[in-house]
Amino acid sequence: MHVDDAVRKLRIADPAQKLSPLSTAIREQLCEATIASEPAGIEPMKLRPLRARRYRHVIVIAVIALGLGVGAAWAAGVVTPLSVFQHSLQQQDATTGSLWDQHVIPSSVVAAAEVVIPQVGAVRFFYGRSDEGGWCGALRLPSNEWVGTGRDSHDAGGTVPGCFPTREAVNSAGTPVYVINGFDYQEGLVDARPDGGSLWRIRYGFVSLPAAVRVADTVSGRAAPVTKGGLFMLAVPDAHSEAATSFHLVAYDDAGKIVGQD
Amino acid sequence: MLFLEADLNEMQTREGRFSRLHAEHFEAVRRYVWRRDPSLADDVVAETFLIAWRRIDEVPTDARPWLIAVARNARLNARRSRRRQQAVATRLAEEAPSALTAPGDHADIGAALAKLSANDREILLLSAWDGLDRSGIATVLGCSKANVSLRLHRARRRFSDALARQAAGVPVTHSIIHGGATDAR
Repeated sequence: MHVDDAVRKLRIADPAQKLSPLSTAIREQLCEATIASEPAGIEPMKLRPLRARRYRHVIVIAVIALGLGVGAAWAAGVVTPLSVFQHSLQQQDATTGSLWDQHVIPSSVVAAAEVVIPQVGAVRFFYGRSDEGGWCGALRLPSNEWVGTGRDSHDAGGTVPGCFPTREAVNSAGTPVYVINGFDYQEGLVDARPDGGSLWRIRYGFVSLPAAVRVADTVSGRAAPVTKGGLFMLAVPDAHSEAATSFHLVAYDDAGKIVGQD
Repeated sequence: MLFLEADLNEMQTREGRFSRLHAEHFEAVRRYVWRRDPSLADDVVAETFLIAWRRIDEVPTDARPWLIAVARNARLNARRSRRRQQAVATRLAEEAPSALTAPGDHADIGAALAKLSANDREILLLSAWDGLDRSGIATVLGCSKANVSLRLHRARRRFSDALARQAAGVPVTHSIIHGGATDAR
């Protein structure tokens, strides 16, 4: 047999031809998980020569002098989900061991859910757990900026990304302020109105209701699946942005029965 | 800890580059590992891209050979680890690619590949299945392009001989394959 014929037969016999590619969503999730696993951008900073570091110190002093402030500097540098949680603004000024002194568990950080907002694009909810029993949450815009940091024209505010104590922990620490009903979530606002869209309120967090498979807002009729671990991300357009539209979150089991409400 | 404004672009560039790298080469790396060790594919691919993320500044422009070289090392490490765990007596280095050992339409190809040495098989498959050119293969195997040309030429010839014998039903002994002789016994 001629060598070229043998190699041609070999190419045809490639077993990977029957291997289906992973879906884009799963592959992107793996990519995000890798990026979230550790902040690659930090390590090279440690290796820079002293002169470069000094130069950078001069830059940061200049930045502060220009009045950009600590919050903007924080937001400017924090990119990966893990970094967002590790440098949680929610933790700022919290005394050691206090309720808001939450530390993310790096291996727990996942891309939990995604919602496509018209005129904006895919907004992704990142979730993590903290050593102290709390949780971490952040919404990332298509520009890679984070909702609540004021660095993107579509960011209309809401909860600043970071790590939070659970509602139970807050109640246990002092005067109860939450109704404990199995829901624990935060809210971020995404504004697509400058592009002809709507203002969207995105509630993201988790439900501690084992049977829950779906969360819905009974006012708007919008619903979102509950993913593994009880996580959810529900986006609802708000027609009355000046006075927040009322909403009523309900959790359903797979038979359509209500198993909890907020 | 505060990051500096000047680091923002650097970090975003890294993340963007890694995302593009992942999108462009994920399937090629996955197929590379799956052809050889389906049971290790998920772990090895995850390990490969984690290393790429950690060392994103070192990844060359022509990234695929570099990634496959990392995957190859990760795969061999995983196999060594598994071999220790299972304490198997078989010589894993001489196993045929497991994706080809199952009965199928190309049993003759699988049998011919199994007759090759591990080195011949690897260089042949890097060319025929993974689509790497000589330069890419040299990166994966850590040798010169001239060396790749020579080894690939020999591997192709030995595979062709083994396939011809397979078709003719003539057994080929181990010593003949390694020695490159053409006579069957």
